Amino acid sequence: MKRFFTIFCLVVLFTFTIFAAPKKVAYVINGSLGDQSFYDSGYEGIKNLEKDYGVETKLMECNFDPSLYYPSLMTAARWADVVFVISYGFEEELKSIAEMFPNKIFVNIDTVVEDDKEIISNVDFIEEEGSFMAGVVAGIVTSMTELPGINPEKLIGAVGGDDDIVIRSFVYGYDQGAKYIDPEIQVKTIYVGTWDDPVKGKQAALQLYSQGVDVIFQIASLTGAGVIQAAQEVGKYAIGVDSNQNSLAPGHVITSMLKEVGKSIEFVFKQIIDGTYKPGTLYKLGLKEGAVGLAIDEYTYQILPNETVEKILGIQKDVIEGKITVKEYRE
Amino acid sequence: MKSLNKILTGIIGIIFSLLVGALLIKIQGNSPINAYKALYDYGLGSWFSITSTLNNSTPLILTGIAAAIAFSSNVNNLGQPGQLIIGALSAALLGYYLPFPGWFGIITILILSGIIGGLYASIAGILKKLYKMDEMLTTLMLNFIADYLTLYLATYPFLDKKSYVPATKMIKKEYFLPSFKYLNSSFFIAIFVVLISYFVVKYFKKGYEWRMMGHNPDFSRIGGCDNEQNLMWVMFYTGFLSGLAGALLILGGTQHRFIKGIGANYGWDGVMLSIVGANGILETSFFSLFFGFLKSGGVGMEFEASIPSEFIMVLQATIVLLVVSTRSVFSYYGDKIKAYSKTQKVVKAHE
Amino acid sequence: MSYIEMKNIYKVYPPDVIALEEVNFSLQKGEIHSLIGENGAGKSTLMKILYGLVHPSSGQVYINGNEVKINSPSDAINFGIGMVHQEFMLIPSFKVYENVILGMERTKKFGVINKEEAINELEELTKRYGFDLDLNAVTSDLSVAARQKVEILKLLYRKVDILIFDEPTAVLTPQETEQLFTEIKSMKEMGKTIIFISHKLDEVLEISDRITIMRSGRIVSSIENKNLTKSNLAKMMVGKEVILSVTKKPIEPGQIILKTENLTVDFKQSKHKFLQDINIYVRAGEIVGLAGIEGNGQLELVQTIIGESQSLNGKIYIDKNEITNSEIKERRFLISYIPSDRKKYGLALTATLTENLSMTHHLGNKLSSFKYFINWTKAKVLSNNLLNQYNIVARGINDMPKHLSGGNQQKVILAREFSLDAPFLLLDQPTRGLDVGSIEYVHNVILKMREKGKAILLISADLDELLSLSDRVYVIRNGKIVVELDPTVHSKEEVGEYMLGGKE
Repeated sequence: MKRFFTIFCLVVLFTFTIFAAPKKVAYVINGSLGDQSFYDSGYEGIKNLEKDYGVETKLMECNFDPSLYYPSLMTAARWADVVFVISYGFEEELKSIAEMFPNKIFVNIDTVVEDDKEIISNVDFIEEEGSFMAGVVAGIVTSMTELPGINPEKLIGAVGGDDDIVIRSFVYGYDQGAKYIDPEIQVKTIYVGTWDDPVKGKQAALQLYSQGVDVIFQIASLTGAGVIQAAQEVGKYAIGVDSNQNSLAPGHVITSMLKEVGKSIEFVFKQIIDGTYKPGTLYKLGLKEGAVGLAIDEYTYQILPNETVEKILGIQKDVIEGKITVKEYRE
Repeated sequence: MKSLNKILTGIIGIIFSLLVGALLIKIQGNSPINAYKALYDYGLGSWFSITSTLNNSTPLILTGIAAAIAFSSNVNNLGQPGQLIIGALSAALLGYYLPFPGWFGIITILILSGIIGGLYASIAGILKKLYKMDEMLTTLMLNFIADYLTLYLATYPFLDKKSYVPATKMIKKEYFLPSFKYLNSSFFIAIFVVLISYFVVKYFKKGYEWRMMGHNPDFSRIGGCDNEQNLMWVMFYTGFLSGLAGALLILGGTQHRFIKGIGANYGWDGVMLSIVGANGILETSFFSLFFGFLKSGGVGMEFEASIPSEFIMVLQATIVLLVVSTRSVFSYYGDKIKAYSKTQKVVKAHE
Repeated sequence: MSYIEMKNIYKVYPPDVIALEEVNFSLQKGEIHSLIGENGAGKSTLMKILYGLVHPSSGQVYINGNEVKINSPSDAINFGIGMVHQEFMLIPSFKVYENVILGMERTKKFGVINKEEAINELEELTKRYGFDLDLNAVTSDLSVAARQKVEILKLLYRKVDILIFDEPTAVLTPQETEQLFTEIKSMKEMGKTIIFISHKLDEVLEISDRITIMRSGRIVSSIENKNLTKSNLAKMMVGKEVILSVTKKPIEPGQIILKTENLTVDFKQSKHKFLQDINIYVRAGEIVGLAGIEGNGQLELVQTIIGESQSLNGKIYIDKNEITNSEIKERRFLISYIPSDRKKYGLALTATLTENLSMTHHLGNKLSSFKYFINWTKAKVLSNNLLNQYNIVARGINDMPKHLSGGNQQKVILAREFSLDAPFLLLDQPTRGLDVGSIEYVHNVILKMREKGKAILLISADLDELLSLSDRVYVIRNGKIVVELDPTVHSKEEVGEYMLGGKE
């Protein structure tokens, strides 16, 4: 009886804390800011929370140093009411720390961490849909031999950071998109093994271009900045990732596959404020929700004729309406 | 007395570095007082902070004394980073596949990982013996090989399919080293190894020969010590220490698996520490605690005062430079002043 | 008025080593002035001050009565003061004239060196001073004596008036020394002033007009070279009576300890001449000398015996054990070894005396209680005993050799090696660079070891020493043993002729 009462009290307390408006928000990332894509996009969302809700925010960068993961997350968890975390490489630590603070909100972004007590919520992007569109664009462009720098070979490329599940799902969707345009198109992929080394990214890109590839999809955070540089240098094409990177090398970045980390953070936080948030939710966000997609702007039109862009947008519409199904990697 | 001297000049150098650091923080527009308060709070301010300082210093102690023993034996082993991650990977794989129970398994993993790290270091020793290749270069190159080899193994053959980053599967729960009130028992293992190493270097005939080789290799050779063999032993022993550091990261840390980047900067920090500790085993261990403090305090500085964690690296490098220069400045000007006063005394005596 | 006057010079080397104390030194124009004293007496320091290499802690220098500040060697050259160092500062790949004019090149248009003018001027100089020197020879091909001449020529070309010679005869054979003295005398006739630093008393008495004697940082006396004897000078240098001659007890040699059979050594990487069919032996209780000009195979013989390098052919036996292919460690149980380069091979300068004295002793079980450990209590007892027994002046067993004088450093090595109790002693230049007092001590210790029945092979560049200590002498030239001589029969000059190859 006594035990039942304790549990009852805990549940009340638990519910109460959730509905109390959060004041302190922490953003813990495994990497570092300055990549002009993934992590920066999330930080933009965090800054918007400050503006829109007047909350106090703090940032912890781990710079890919595993020895910092635990203490950083611990420090953040002790202080914050809500922790947004990009937990590549410390999923287990996230679980154990979340269990220590069951009354705080943990939102894990981009990977799925399932804890038994359902404390952690996850934002999972359906990368396959976005990269499918990137594949469509690359497939179309590699067939347009009238564009400068495009050769008749049906080869496109991708440069990934690590060879991990998320990047493989990117490549998986990318391959589907390209094959949708022309089943003969081949995708060449290089996994560089680092997320913060543009020099290595550039080397990998130059290698792919020299093998006859004319469009490269970069999926490598800061390392990918080198891919875009390489495209500009040899007069070929690149597709950006996570944030809109079209302006980084005008005329060479056709489009960017957006992964709206910042918007998804704002989306989840709004639910917390509204009181509709439930711990342990899995938010699966794709093309339909606008969480992934293509950045089509004046830089795109600079490279591609209007009808081509319309064709791309048509395919995108078909995907959103379910006329085309994109297979997910972990199936 | 000599130890104390090294530690005192080290501390003076550290104080100067903290002042330089304060200036840098000020230039960036932050408050040095707040920053250093956060450094203290998160590094020493509470029991939790103290334990995280000690936990952070555990691998540093081992890589630090590995570098110190190597350098004081005139063996330029710069391969601590590689030996550490090779040891870490070995421990992760052993921890998953080994069928032994509990403590017996832990001891087996620690010793085997150390031996694997030691054998990896010995490659440089063999190359020196057979082909007269400079061990400084070979150990540096072996770091790259270790880096890519472990990354490959963790990305493909031993990948944990559920992981989002290149990582092996988690080791068995029974091999986790226990913590006592946040303080992981790997710290005690490191201290135990420090004492053993001190004993080995001081009281073993081999240890004496290593040290004499460090003072003057020609002297020890002519004196009847087998320098080639001693170089191999030093390589193996220091590689063992680094490999053990890697194994403790797996068994005692928070990850309990090999994960890309797990070696962090422990290897190079060890090299820096041996410089700060003037290649003394006890001195280096002492300053390892301080670097551990910086590491845990750095988290606080970032969180409380928004000072990026890279600042700690700048501070560490400054410490190395200033400690070394403090030592030479002290002895140079100290001697000059002594000489001047002696001259005055002698001249006066004659007048 | 004196030409050069150094007044109340003090020099304290950091932190607290007094090198010079209230030194007053004066030099007359046109004289040959010798500066003698034991090692560490301060003669080199005093001259380095005059040459601008070292700055005095206190005191003044006057030239012709005017006070001057000499801050660097180039200042000194401008004042007409030059120095010939013990180590030559020449570029081996340069031709002789190029080395001489280096830094003083006179150029024609567009910076082209005026080679003809330089060579003409140098030829004129060599003629005037009677130097026998090929100006177009490559420096590395020259003998030591010839290189010394290049150094002197460098100074004459720079028109110095005072030449300081820092122990110039240490590297020369007796014949070359004679040649140098002739040149020095002709320079004096041309009006140059010479300062001659040495501790070889015969030479000093032969050449000087005036002799200044220094002892522990002070000038003891400065006197005309009239009616002086070696023992007068030695007494002033050391401060007490010195026995310059060696008295040996007659000992009947025992069985053969060291024996080499057709020892042949071929150094692929070395320019040195290799050894050919060396057959020598050393018996218990005798001292065997090895005479020869440096670079004729002595180094190779020593290295092969101690095990630093391997022989091509032949065998080495010590005490009936063949050691031809043994490791150094095994040989060290049979050989006590005094290396010629004591700082390189004999000591760890930055380790403690205990650690230095324990080397090689630690190989056996003398210093351990358990096989793989060192018992430092035992090591300290040993070190304390040796320190007392050999009168090593140090601040204790924790002092470091780098703080000791050369003589005391050598005593540390002697103490360690002679207490090993090996049957064979290999002594390579045991007194090189030591002062008179220390030399006497080393000689006595060596003789004591002879009396104890040790077999001793002695290598020394000092022929007087070699002949007075040895019972038999081998002469080595071009890697071959030329002759075996009896020092009681053959004179120093005869040995010298065998060394140079004048006699076969």
